[in-house]
Amino acid sequence: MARTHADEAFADFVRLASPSLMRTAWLLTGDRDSAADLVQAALLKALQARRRIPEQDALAYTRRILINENIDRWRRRHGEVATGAAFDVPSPDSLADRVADRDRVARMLATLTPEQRRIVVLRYHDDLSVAQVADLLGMTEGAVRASCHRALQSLRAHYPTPIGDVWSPTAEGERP
Amino acid sequence: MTELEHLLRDDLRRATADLAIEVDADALLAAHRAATRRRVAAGVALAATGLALGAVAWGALGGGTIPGVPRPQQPDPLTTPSAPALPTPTPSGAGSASPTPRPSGSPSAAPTAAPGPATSAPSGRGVTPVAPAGTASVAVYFVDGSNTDHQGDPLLTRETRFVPKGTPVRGALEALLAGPSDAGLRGLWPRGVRVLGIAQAGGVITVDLSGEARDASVGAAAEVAMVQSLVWTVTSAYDQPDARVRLLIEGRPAGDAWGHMVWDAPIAREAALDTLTPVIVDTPLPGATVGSPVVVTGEAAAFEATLEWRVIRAGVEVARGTAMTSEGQRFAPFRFTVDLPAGSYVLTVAPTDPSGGAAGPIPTAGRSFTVR
Repeated sequence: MARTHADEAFADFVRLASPSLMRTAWLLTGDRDSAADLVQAALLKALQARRRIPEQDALAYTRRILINENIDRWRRRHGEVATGAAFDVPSPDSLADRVADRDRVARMLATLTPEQRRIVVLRYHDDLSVAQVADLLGMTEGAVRASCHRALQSLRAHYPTPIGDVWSPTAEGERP
Repeated sequence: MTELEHLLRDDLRRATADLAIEVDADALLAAHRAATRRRVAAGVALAATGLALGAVAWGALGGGTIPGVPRPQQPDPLTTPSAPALPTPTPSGAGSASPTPRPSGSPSAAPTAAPGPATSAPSGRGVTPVAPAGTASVAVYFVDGSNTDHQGDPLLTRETRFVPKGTPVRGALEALLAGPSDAGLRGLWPRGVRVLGIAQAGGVITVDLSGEARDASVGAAAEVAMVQSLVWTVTSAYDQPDARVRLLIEGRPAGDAWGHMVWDAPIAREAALDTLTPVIVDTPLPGATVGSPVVVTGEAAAFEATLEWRVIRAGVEVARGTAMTSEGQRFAPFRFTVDLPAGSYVLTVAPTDPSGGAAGPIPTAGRSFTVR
């Protein structure tokens, strides 16, 4: 079917936004198929609302949809349109190392509560501020900080404690 | 950032560095077009039932027709001598428009009682308006003509009907089979189906319908909605939300009567979030004449429990506000009041859109009423 100008713009947006959305989705779900599915669902919803989304905010809007879609258990799980495929990009490093690394991170994130996981991903992967995360998730900044703090507490076990640095529970997340 | 935070950030970056996805934009565009066609088709079919007023007022808010606008009174094709299903009356008089909280026993007509937010678990019955003498109010489930799920599949909403007090379940079932009185809703059961029997034992409700029930031909998704409309209607009339329903046709299990699903064992309600339209307005009743302040009640599943409402008069917004359901992300009751001068109004209620408008069409419930 012939594409309109708006369709072309959307196709461009899909190309540019998908990698970033895919990374966020993978960190939220820990598996590629679910992540790919989530990305497609978010993009489809963004497409349905494209006239209402300011172009410069499209990625932020779509990320927000993706997070809600992930939270959202309303949607039916059958009859989904297969519109994408996730894959590993060949890299100079050993693919096996990468996969092992990814598994470790996936297992680590899986130990968090869903809320903690969302916050950690948005804060430390998507580099959003506490205020932005609070806005996105509909929480107070205090609640985001507290949840983030608890997440870091529990993730600490996965990292070796460096010599001479004892992480202070009160300083986490607040130091510049 | 602490060292831990740096390590974490590096890990998250490294773990996702090589992850890629190839999204077929054309497939998304095609899926979007297909969904749009379905919505348009549904809108056209409804417009054909005739309701220019609804279409005009609604057009300003984003398409579709307004549920809650009473269709011109039609003779009920299914009045059996034992228990005729009455069409929804237009309530008038002081007591009739005052909702009372559902859990208390017999409906009280005290207009001064200010009902608090209904906090009981949703039973599917909604807030019961005061029923005219000799009748009981029941919730009857039909397809919401204005909202679909994100795949374009039908969702159910409910209509309050007044049926003979002695046989509320039969009354609710016959009202279901006869179809909605509200022009914004659609019934899926074929015409001419009679209720042969209703029985209830040990959490299983058995419904026996006449052979015309086999005549339904509605497609797979609508068939699920058709079956669920019966399940929700009878379980709510019995006030047994967890009961299962067995369907017999002429005394035999319905089986695969309609070609898509098999109904040979009792089935329960599907999850409300998958089945019901996200916002259901119970009161004011469609076309009701009520006093001010107008008490608006219903049930909604809203992200963060927030709803936005608007009141429109002759195409112009005259009031707006927000309301909370008692709990977010699941079906929960809501209640708010609006002070309005005498006149005719259309009310719309919609969940606050967490994506700021990015997540597609916003499901909206509409209701027309008059303030005396």
